[in-house]
Amino acid sequence: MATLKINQLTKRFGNHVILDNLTFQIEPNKIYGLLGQNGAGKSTLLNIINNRNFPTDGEIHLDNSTVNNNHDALQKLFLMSETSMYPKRSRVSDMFQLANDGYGQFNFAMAHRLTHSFGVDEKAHLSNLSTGLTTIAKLITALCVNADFIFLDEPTLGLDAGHRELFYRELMKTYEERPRTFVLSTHLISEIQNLVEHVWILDHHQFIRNEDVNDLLANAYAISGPSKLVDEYTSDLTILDQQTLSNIKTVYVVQPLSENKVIPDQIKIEHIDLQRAFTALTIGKEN
Amino acid sequence: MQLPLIYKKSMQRYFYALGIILITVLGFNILGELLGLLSGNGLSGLTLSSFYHGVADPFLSCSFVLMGVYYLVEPYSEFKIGIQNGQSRWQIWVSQIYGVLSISIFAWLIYLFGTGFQHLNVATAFGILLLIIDIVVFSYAIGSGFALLSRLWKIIVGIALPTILLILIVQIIRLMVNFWHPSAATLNTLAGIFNWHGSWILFGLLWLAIMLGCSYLFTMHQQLRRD
Repeated sequence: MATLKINQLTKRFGNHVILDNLTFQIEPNKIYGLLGQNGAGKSTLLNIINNRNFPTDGEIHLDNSTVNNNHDALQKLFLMSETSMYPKRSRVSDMFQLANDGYGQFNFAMAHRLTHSFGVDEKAHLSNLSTGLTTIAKLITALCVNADFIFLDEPTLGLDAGHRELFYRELMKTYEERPRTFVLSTHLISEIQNLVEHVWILDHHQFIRNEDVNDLLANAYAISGPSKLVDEYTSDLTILDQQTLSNIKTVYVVQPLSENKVIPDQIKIEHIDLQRAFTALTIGKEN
Repeated sequence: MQLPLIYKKSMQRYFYALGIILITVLGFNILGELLGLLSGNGLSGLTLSSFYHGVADPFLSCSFVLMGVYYLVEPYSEFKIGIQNGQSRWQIWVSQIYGVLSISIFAWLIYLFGTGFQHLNVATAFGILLLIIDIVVFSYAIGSGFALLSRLWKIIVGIALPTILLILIVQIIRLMVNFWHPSAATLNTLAGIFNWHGSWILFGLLWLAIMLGCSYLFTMHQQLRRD
């Protein structure tokens, strides 16, 4: 399987820069998380990668050939997004049939099983479905389509906790059965922490983090204790976010800590989760 | 190269719309006859031929309207279906051109059957086919051009463009009437050109080529809109 290469990608709407000179790769058979605040440009990035929109500058290559207007390349990419891409009177079964006509070898057996599990009527018109059920119909299509790179933009939009759990399970099941690349763009970061191997954090038009989740979390800490001691201990660190309650201060850092440095008894150092690390890296920095 | 997806979808939707038109026309005719029967007129005036014409004539008119309108409104919807399902812009364009040709040939056949092949020779039949293709491809070119525009710009261009064209044509005619005084020989030459059947065929082919070029250009620039 080929690697998807995004090279110096820039997108501007008028004078407003959305994405600024992004260069990265999407490897085969990996699960990625694309994180960013509202309006960070996640959906724009996914739309450009999938040739729905054009970049202002830069290129996307798959197997050393451009994705733009390239049938062979587009046959390997599938994007499930919030935008309605089907006519209003389409049925759920029409989505499956179109995916089969477009990509070939659609997994109808799995789709039937999933519609049953999620409680979606295949004969239902999309216009009659709730937001959650529409998302489920799109997710089922995405999980059963024959493509090597599956992009899921807000895959849990409108889904209740039970359906989200079922989706994560089915995602892992299909990934084990037929490994391929999944890119999840979501705000429910804590829920995908155990699913994704690599994460991109988009902030101020650029990636502020592009690394494996384990590497990121290995260096993501909350350091708490008496204010004075915490300030002394973290004097040479980049503080991303901090909270003070009475005399107790907690600071968040995402960087390696020196092993030679003595940790005062009253200082407590804990690893933080992906959600907290994301908040510290994005919102915390602004504050 | 894989073509069928958009072409198949396009034909499904076109013939679905055509089916609705046929059922509606048929329904209205049957309802009319039933009302005639209830009002005491009986079925004496009803013949197979009159019923056929009662259905065929409005169906023919409506199918021609559909033919002209279909590709005016469908290109963006088909672009979305295509790009969602792994089709390139080139494939979408080629599929739509196949659709344009299929619809034109179908409309042409309907016309030929509707008129009962009267007063027809090969040149006229070809001329009618070319005219139908020109109309459908013109509609497709406008539709794919409009697919590039947001709702606001569609309204602006939809009003502004015909207005500008109308003003332009009126001004050209006015200029010609006031300042152009051709000699009899020039007028004869022009009349000769317009009277020659081939001129219209050439004009039709030129129009077809320009509209195909425009539709290609517009389709290659289509994007997912934010409105």
